[in-house]
Amino acid sequence: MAGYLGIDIGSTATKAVAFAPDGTPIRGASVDYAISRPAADRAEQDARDWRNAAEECVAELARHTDLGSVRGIGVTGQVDTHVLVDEAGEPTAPALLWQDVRTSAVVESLNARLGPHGRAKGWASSQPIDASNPVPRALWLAEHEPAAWRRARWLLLPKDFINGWLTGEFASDPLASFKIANGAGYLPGIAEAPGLAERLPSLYEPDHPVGRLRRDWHGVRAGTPVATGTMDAYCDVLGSGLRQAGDTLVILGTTAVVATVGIGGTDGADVVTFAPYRGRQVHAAPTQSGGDSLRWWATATGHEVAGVLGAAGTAEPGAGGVIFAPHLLGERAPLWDTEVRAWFTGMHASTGFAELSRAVLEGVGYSVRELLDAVEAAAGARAERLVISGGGSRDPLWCQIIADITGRPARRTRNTDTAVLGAAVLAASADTGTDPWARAAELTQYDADYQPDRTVRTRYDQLYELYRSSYHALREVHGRLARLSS
Amino acid sequence: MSSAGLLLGIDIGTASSKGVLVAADGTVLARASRAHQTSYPHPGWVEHDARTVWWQDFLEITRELVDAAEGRELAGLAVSGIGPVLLPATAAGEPLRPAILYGVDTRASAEITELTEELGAEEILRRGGTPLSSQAVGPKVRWLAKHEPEVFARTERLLMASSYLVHQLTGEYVLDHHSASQCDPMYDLHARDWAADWARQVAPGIELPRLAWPTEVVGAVTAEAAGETGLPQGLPVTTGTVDAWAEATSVGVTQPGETMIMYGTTMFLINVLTDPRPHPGLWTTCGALPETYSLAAGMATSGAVTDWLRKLVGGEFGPLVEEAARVPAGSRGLLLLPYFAGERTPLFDPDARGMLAGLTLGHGRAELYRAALEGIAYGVRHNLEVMREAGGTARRLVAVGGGTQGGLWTHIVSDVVGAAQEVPAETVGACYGDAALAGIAVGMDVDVRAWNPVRRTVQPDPDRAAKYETYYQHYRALYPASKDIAHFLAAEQRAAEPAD
Repeated sequence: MAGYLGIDIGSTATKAVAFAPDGTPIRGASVDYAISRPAADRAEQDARDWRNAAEECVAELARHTDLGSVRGIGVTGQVDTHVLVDEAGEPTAPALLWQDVRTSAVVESLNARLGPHGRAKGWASSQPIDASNPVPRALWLAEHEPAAWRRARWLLLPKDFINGWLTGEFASDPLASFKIANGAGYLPGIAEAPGLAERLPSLYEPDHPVGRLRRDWHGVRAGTPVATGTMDAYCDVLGSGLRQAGDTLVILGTTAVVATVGIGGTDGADVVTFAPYRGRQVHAAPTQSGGDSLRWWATATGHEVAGVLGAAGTAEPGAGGVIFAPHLLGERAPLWDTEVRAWFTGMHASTGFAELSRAVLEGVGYSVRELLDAVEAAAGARAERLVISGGGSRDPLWCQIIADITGRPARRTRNTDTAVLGAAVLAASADTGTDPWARAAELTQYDADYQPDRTVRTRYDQLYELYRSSYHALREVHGRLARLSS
Repeated sequence: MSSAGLLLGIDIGTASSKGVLVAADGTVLARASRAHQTSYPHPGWVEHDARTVWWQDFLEITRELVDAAEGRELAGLAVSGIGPVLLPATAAGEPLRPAILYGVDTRASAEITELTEELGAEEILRRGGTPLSSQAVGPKVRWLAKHEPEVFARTERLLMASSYLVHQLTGEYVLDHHSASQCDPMYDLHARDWAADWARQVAPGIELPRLAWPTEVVGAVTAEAAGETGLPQGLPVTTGTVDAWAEATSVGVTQPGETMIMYGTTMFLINVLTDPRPHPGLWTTCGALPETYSLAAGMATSGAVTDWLRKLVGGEFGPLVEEAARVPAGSRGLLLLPYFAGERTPLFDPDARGMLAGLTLGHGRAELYRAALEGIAYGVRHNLEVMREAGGTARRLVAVGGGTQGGLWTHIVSDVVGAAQEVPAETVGACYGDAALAGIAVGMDVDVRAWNPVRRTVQPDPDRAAKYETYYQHYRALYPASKDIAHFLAAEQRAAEPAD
């Protein structure tokens, strides 16, 4: 019997899962859509595709499952993607994806004008404003799409767009709006873009019901509460059952993300520190390429991913003295270096596909350890054990490598799509008013445990130090290579 | 001496032996080859059995070529082979153990250190032209004395592949100056003679061979050897030499400033000099022709790396090369350090390791393969620069070997080096040079340039050359920046190897 419905509006697909009241997934559905790239610096989606995909997913669930017992809906999704909609919630222009960098000129002049000093007041951090920030986007839209901008009532995130469609209410949450908001509301910096403040919806906490379902929806009854929801990575944290200070999540998705829960904690310079939410402060550190490294390696060498994993399993820990660094798209946390590139080092004539394949998995492991160091420092708490989720976690070897390299025991979530479960957790809290952290712990299930192998500890410690020193050793050459090839 | 008749050249290589029957005008009349086994009895040991590999190959190839001569008169025979090699033998030239091969055999590392300390690195370089490395014969003799004293006690003569065959054929105990100049530290480059004092210290009680140039006839086929080989008794036999130097002769790299670039399993370069120019990053030796010297450089891998990469990404060479040819110079921001077996010249660093830097999601197998070709080309340029620094000149570059086929690699090397390369018509290799040396020795008027004309000249492209100029600077920065990391990883790899 379905209890809660979780929906994730991702960049390549929308997923929906019906969960039993105890968190057991009953059935899932997924519908893909395209990213349109009309120019090198643009990445767009038609927001109506999100709506259609959600509609199709839930219709598919309803074909197999009675949704009449659903007591709450939670929606999560990609962040840094924005759509302008009119009074009725209809898009007035294509949505700008998180990858869209058309605002780079606006961003450059904003950063130059404000400087670190100016950004320290009224902005989320003194770090440079990036191309996906709503402020430069609003400035760009007002100038280049004046008609769409004038007709727009709201500037919305994907999940807020879906919530508006389901309930007729428009709102957002401070966690998903972290670049322009904190726990106290929107930051003064939004005034840099005239007309933006009145186009931003009210902020509620993620588990607050934004409204109720306007009409019956494939069996889900009208009046069912819909949670405000929040961004995908935060829902991953909730959907992994993190609760205590030091509880830490490793997401092996397209990218790798490490997130840890702190009771207090400081703003780490190298990590994203979210506004406190119900007594917890989450510090998260995302990389650029996690599972992507594995897919890239498989493609470059003409293998299936399964073939790479099989070969990696035959190599020894330490990959025969080969180190891979996974910065194939430059790097986000904790290096925040767009010019760094990936590398293999230590290759010998006797190095084979097996060693290189294992080195790729270990390289992501070293980057996870680096992220772990950064989030632990920010949270001021040590992660005694890890929870691993994401597509990459389906490979037991990779989970073991993460446990060995970090030296921490790791548990794997039964669900790969922890973000959808996190959205359902918020739906459950919206329904009953209970603490979402407590609900999350009840609803999360694990299916495997990995103990760090002490016999490989010293070797991995040494290789990790080498991994870190290679970054500094190669930094200058990579910077120049990046500029040569751009 | 006859001035007509046919010439025989036979070369003993690492993986195979090749022979050629050549007319006085250089026309190749017949070719023969035999593959053979190299043995690796322990990690770092690389050996050939002289009787079953060298002599057996020689017999089979000779019979095939003598048959092809169909009774026409033979004028001379020259041999060459892998070198320098240590084959301890009795006074009758009977091998006492398998031959210990050239620089690929690394067993004498302790003795290299020991002898370098004993004799002094600077003095070794000044006198012999080359720092002691796994290439040197002296430390291997010392190793033999220490580890196989019973063999050493019976050793009366030291042979190489070419001098072993000459001994078999003629009974003469003779070695060419070039091979001798690779017997560091037992040869004095300036005196062009054995360094008698050091030779006594390294090889006490062992008779050293008489020295001659590869262009000299040193004996004639004996009745006994004629019976065994089918060669005519009394056929003039020349000194012989090391294969790469014979190959350089075969492509006309004989004049000062001329340089051969051999695209083989490893990259090997020979630059002809008039005077010895010792340099710590290179090998300085006597040349093949009388009174000449040469600078030699050898990378530890090259064809080995491209083959490794092809196996890694799968598929055939042909399509891979086509794809790589469409990738722009610089492989879209990739750099490969080709030190997959450490590096010989000019780094002399056995613990250097291969590296691929600059990888992005946009790089596929074509970029990786091109980066490998480019990485080796940067290594060639590095060696040529050190040759210039040592006092060599590179006024003419000649490209030889299997890697010159297809053209992409030679184009990349010319673009990286910023200089043209001539590719000769005949690519038979060292045995063709042997035939030329035999012809010279028996008094024929051999013009190797006419024997083996240039088939094509590869010109550098100015735009790509300019681009590679920048990449090369970054390539050079990569090794010093990552050396310590590579050394640590190399130590890790050694520790993981099973014990002997």
